[in-house]
Amino acid sequence: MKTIQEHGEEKRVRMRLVETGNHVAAWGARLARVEVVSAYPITPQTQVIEEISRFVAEGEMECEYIPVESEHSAMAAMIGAAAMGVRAFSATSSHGLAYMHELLHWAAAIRLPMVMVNVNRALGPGWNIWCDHQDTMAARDTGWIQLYCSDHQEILDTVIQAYRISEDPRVILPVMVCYDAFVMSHTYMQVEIPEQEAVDRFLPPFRSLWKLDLERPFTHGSVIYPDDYEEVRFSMQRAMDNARRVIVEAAGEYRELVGGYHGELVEAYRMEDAEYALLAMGTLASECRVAVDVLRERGYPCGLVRIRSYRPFPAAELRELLSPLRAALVVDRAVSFGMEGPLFSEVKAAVYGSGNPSIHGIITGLGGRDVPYDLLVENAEAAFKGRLPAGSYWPSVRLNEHHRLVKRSLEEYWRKEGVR
Amino acid sequence: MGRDFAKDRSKERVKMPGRKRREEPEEIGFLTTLSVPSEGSVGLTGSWRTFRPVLDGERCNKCLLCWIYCPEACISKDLRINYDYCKGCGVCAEECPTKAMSMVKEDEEEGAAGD
Amino acid sequence: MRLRDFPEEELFLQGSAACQGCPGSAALRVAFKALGRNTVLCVIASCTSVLQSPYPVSALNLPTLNMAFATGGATGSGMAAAAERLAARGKFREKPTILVWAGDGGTYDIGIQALSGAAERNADFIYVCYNNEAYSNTGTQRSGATPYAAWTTNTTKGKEEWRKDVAQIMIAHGIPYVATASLAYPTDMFRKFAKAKEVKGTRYIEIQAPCPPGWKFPSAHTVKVARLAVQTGMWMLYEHENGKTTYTAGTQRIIQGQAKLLPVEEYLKAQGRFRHLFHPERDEERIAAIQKRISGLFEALQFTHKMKEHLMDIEISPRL
Repeated sequence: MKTIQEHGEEKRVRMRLVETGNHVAAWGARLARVEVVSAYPITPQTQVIEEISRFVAEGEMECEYIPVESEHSAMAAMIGAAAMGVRAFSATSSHGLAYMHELLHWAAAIRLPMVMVNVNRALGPGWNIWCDHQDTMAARDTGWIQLYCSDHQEILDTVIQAYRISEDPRVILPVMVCYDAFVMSHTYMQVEIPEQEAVDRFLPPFRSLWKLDLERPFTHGSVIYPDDYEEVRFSMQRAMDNARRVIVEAAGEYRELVGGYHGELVEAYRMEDAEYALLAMGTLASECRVAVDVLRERGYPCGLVRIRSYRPFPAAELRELLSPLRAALVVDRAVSFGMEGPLFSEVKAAVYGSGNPSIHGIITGLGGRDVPYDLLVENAEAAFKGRLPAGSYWPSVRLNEHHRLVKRSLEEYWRKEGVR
Repeated sequence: MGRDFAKDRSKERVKMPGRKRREEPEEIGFLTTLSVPSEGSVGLTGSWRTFRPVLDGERCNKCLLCWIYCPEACISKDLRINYDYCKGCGVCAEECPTKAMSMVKEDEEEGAAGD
Repeated sequence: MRLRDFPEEELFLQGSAACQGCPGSAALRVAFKALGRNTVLCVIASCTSVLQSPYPVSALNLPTLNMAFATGGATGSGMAAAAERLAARGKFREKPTILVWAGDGGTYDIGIQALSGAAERNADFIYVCYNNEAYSNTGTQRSGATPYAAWTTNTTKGKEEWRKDVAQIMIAHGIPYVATASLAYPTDMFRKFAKAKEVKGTRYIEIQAPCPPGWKFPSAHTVKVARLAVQTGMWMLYEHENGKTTYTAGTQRIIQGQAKLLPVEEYLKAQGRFRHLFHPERDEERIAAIQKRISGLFEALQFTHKMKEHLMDIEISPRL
């Protein structure tokens, strides 16, 4: 057993691997002793299930791997397995997540624990396999807890923590662990794989508050009338509220029993004396970290708030962190069409009525477009000086030669067809 | 894991709670759409009936077809009809090979057959 | 198996929300008797979602998971995989039977992808399609199982297409057991469920389920219409295992010449959904088209049966 020092605690490390984010997610499921995995391949998630199928085939994981014929079926099989009383896992991305949307609602309302990884990827048409957060933002209101990672170690640690959170009797909601396509899914980073015994101490065997029990038959999910329905939804909302506390506890206990810490509902960077802040999720937050250092050099006492838990939303934490500030810039990697960046809306809603920070928003990095730190610095400066337009500003949008070619051709077509 | 096969849960009944509004709201806690197995899950469905099946014990040859065909499980294997739940569909009378089962209008006399 | 040997225990509890003369609850009763208490049930969106009664009580006395429309094959796969793990951990005295219960909409149409996937993986569960030949739960719209010329609320002059045959599609998947069943032949149905219970892998049983309000006949005629379907050849009873189809009960008797194939009119006239074939005037063309398909098939089957007795082993696909 090797031990290393991190965050001042002993970490029980079984081995160090240099691995892709996807393989690391598979290791998370393995260490969590998942017993049923059902998944359908989609770029950029494929390596997760390839690695799990290899673990199973080589007898390294005592698990049934179901190579289902669609994501809709992946989620249905997971629900069936969890209802029987075993720990279930799946992984998907983008169109896959959209395709299982109906069953995301079902999985949450059925009140059974389960964990799924989603590799954040843009949606078509225009096949785009690269990163943005549109897929998981569209799954926001399904009742899933959503945790966003920003490095490989965090993926591993979060998958394991996710089961602990999901199976906590105060919660019992499914958890989605999200990380960015390619930037994380396919890049290699060094990861410390904790010892199985340490993980077992942190994560007890699967537990849930009900199952398909031959001893005590219940019927789940029959017709429910208006007079009964609202309380069931309210119970989910309360479970989300409880999850706020449980996520914090899980992060703390994980640090103690396994080692490794990545923040709680949010991770704050250089916020102690900050007057300004950047807010983002996933790898954009890593880019924002660089931007914060540059902004500090330019004389802005700026910090970073990385949102780890999008659902439940860390409203209280954001109020505390943002209300004393002069201004903040929210960087969205998704859009709520007809409104603005979804994170931008929610940050404003959370802070509304406490303090008077001026909150601005940009949307950038859609479909995997590179977001350099200097773009963030430039827009942050504009925002902090009050020079950004209202609503979400799209700083990286421009008409390029490709778009112009299509427009010329379309205009020709319209003339020919007499279309105005 | 011990399993109690002998215990007949089909006789278990669940009392439907009243729908009175409380003064102090109870803590909702964990809730999901779990239902409890129960006879009479939509109440006394016998009230749906216009005609009631009446068995003539003399003519009955105990073939058990009415027992197995009953869509509602209202006829026991010893051929007793549960009028609390019998919906009066008439399948039993229609299928009875000896015409021992007949459908009698609810408000009319049953004659000698009785129940 | 004689009726008197069927278990007395009722796992379908009386006083449910099923319509008068419901074929769904009638089929559930026979299936439950054959499979017994050590069964876990998954109900796919269908009339059975409703007939089991609303929250917080249920007419189903088995552990039951209601699931979304398109998920039968997949949910069954997940339940079977979990049962495999639990069995490996010694959690059962006897491994339970996983029973997925879906209607024809959930099987023929929206659910066929998940069912096909599960069958290809040979997932270990029994899949039942109780086929009432329409979307009865939403008020009787056409499905892929609705027969030619039948009225539904969106085929008001009669369906123009012939129905597809999912039992045959399941046979093409090479799963270990496929059977069809009829409410009018309970011992045949019971035997098929009891047999399916002992088989490992995907098992498919399709039960024709005449629906009084949907097909427009009196509630007392549920079993009678089911029997007429078999006697006129509109519904065929068989089981398929080890690459061979064996015809059973009423269908077998017709093929072997012990019973006469009744004219299809007798079946059509018993139901309001075919009324337009007879009123205001007889639609000779469509009635003849239906009869021709059935007669042609049965002649071939009867011929093959005779040939088999004397000569060789030929298989005819019983596709209608």
